[in-house]
Amino acid sequence: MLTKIGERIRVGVVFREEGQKIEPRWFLWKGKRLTIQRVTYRWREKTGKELIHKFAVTDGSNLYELSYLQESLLWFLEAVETDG
Amino acid sequence: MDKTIMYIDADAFFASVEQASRPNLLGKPVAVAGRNKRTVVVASSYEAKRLGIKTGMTKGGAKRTLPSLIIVEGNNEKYVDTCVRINEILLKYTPEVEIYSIDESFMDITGSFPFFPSPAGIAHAIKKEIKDTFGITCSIGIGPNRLIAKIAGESGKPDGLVMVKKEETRGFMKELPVGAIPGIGKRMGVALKDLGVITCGELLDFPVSVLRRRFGIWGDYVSLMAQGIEPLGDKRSGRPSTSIGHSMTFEEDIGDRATIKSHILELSEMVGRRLRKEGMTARGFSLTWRYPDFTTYTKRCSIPFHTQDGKMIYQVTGTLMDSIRLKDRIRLLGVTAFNLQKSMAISPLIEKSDKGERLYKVMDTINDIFGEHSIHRATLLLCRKHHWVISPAYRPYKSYPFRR
Repeated sequence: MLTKIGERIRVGVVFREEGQKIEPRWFLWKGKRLTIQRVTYRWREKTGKELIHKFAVTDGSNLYELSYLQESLLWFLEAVETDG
Repeated sequence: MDKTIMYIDADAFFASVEQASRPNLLGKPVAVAGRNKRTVVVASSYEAKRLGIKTGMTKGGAKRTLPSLIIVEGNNEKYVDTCVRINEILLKYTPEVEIYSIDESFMDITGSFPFFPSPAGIAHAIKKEIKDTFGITCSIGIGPNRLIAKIAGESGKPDGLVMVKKEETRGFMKELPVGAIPGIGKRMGVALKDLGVITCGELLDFPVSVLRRRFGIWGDYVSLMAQGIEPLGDKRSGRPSTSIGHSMTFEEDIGDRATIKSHILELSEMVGRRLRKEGMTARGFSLTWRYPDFTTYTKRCSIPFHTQDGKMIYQVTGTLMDSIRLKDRIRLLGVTAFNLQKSMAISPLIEKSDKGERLYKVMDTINDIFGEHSIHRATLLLCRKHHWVISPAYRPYKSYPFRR
């Protein structure tokens, strides 16, 4: 079941290829550090001029949707999908 | 050197993208639809297709057909971005890439052979890169023209690779059912069957004069296509849109004229915005409405000049609505612009007569910077925000919006 969250979060990320490739590694949510095991999908969206990088990531048990606002340099946890 | 065209079609595109991004959906019957409870299925996974789910089914109907079906809310931007990135992969092999629809592209690889081993080699490399990058599969057809490449690609679905050489064209076409030819739909298929024509081979031997009498110029076209000849050559490649339209299905049927007209204004503004974005103007407009029993009507009107002004479009489509005596409440409304041409900058003959145009320019700039619907007509506050999913036939009008 997909639950919308929309919360600002802190993310540990590796920027490669002069910032062209963004690899989130972990994020802090509800006082826990969740390690990203796999980025299952990535895509880009635009809200006005703001380019938003979206990531579907899994920590092995749940699926999370993260977004990175390129201009504002902010990360958000957009949604979480728990099993069942 | 013989022309070599490659056709790439992402298999069950929207549903495959959802399955790739949500691994818990892999191997399950999945359908993609809008958020509105009465929207229709726009795409389904192969698992769902096998169990009877078809594009165009209502959400409720699809659930009744297959209770275990998982309906996923579509995400237009995810699909458009994936389409753009797939085409970036294709551009590594040739600059001659045409986005045909959101999940289909053509490549002219005739000039690529000095640099790459073979058409099959290029196809395998593309399939691998798409699978590795997006986790989705695609079907590829290779032929001497776009028609054969497309038919070959369709015949190998899913995850197929079918190559037809120029000299093999006739043999390849002969056994195919006439429905394999793009443009021959259900109705024409039935009409051809009535004439005793079921396969392309039979179509090939059928007198063109009879086909022409029955179907007009299309009779000549289908006869040529049965031989593997593209009747319009590649004149249609890179073609501009012939119409631009939007439609919406309401959560509840609406009967109040004021509400209906506010939705017509909303749709007209959406069409106007897309015309301006694509640099087009139109002088023909149509209004489509659907009753709860699914009977659908369309009324058209042409005006003497071209426009891209949402308010002007509304004046036309609103007048069309005024001329209709509705027999029931309405389930769906649609507004389409046709008779399109490229817009040209014309200086106004009368001072300040371009006030509306300048207003739209400012509104478009604000919406471009701050996002859609940042500024709109106050009347549209009456309309609830809709969540809609693009049709798989949608063609991103800017190929590479994110390229730096």
